[in-house]
Amino acid sequence: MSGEEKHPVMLCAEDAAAVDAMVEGKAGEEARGARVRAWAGAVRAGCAEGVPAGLLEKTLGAVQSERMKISGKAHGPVAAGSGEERVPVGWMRRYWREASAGLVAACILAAVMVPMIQTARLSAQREACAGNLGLVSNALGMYAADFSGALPSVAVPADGNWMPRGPGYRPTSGVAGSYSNAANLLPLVNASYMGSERLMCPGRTSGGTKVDLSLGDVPEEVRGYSYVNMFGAERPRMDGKRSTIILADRNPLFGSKAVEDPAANSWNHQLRGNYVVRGDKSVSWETTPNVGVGGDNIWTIGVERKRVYTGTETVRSLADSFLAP
Amino acid sequence: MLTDEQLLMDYGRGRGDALAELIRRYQQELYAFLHRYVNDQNVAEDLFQETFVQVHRSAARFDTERRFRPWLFTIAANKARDHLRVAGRRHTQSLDQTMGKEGETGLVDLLASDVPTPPMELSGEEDIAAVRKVLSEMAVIYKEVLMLSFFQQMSYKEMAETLGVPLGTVKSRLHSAVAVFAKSYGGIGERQEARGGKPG
Repeated sequence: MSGEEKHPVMLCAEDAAAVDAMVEGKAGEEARGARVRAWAGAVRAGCAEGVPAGLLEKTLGAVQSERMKISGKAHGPVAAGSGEERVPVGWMRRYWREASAGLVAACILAAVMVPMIQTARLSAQREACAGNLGLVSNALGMYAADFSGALPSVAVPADGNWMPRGPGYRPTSGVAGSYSNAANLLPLVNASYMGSERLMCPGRTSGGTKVDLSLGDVPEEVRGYSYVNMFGAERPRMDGKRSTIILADRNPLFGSKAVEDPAANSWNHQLRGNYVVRGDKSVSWETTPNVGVGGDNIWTIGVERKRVYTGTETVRSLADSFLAP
Repeated sequence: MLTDEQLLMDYGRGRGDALAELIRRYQQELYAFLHRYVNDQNVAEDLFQETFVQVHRSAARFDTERRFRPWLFTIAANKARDHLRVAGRRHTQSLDQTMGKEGETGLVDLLASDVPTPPMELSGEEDIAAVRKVLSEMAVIYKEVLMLSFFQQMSYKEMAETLGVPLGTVKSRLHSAVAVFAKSYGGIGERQEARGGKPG
């Protein structure tokens, strides 16, 4: 567009000056200025909108998908030609020798590249998981800021049991119902601090699935993280301390692929390590679960390393981090 | 508090939560801008997300001499324009559509004309609906300049930067946009009066 556009209607010079004065924040002629301000007010009223619920989360999700797309982009091999012309024997021999050499080179390249691609994919998944936990950590921080430092929680269920039940189990909502400790994260979703897809680890699931909020719990099959036990006598808070661990990758001592060794890392990242969220909102990668206060194990209650839980056990003090499954 | 530009630079250097902060800062006004631009809530949501995906892609290359806000709105306006072009709903014809006689440029005098001025505080649903109808029917080049100046409250310089046109062009577009808006709004008022309804 040039400065020589033809317009069907224009303001008279006085009105145009009043518009300029308003846009440039200068005083203009009073009567015309008031009229122009009224028109500007009408445009503003016509533009004002509420923001749709979850826009922030959806946008961050779109950025995350873009990041994953770029990290995981595979470059296909260049297809070899398939000419059918007959060639002299000498040429054939040379052709096969070159083809064999090419094949060997391709095998060597594949042997080097496949682990590299796998590592890159794992690295991309880890990065996605860290980004996701960063958002959950922000949501926890915002929640705590709005509720005087309290972490999200729901009422203790009638059976007082924090244990997630096996496949096929469906929780029943409300105080009289039964639901696992993971239900304590749902206020973050219900109050629009984040989207429900954040409850899933991008390193473990394909992502994109939403949690069915009507269940009143985070079902076993989509649960990506373990949250500090909120069904104990004293509820942990967002205290700003780096030593307090609030959330982490999923506890590997429970579930269908449960391991016995309390020193094991989460399955979210193939037992290689765990992301943890602390009371100061920081997210860090740890290669051992013994990162609680004084090296406390975050997967277990106390130091007894009890391996069979009923779901009614609770921690004796807040110094004992226990990230329920 | 960090400036928008500092946040974007931090994001480019790997501070993931900086983008969330930028989105939070701009979600209200950018979403409103896009919604009025394309007049469709779902499309506006998609364009909002695409805008920030573009911000993410370009964060590392952001020219630190530039300001973030006009840059963001440039991306958003380009996305919205592209969408309207693809959707085949670009109302370019309105630019040539004459409100007076063919080939002439009509002059509107807001003080002297009988176009009713809207109340300073427009709150009635009917009035707001009338404004939205006028905005939705306006040519894109007028609509965007009206929104950038009166809703986003950008200066002429910022608008020129956002739209990528000379400052003089922005001024003449805005003068014309106000005239078109007033005429169309007045037209709705007259039709409502003729039907015995509330004038605009």
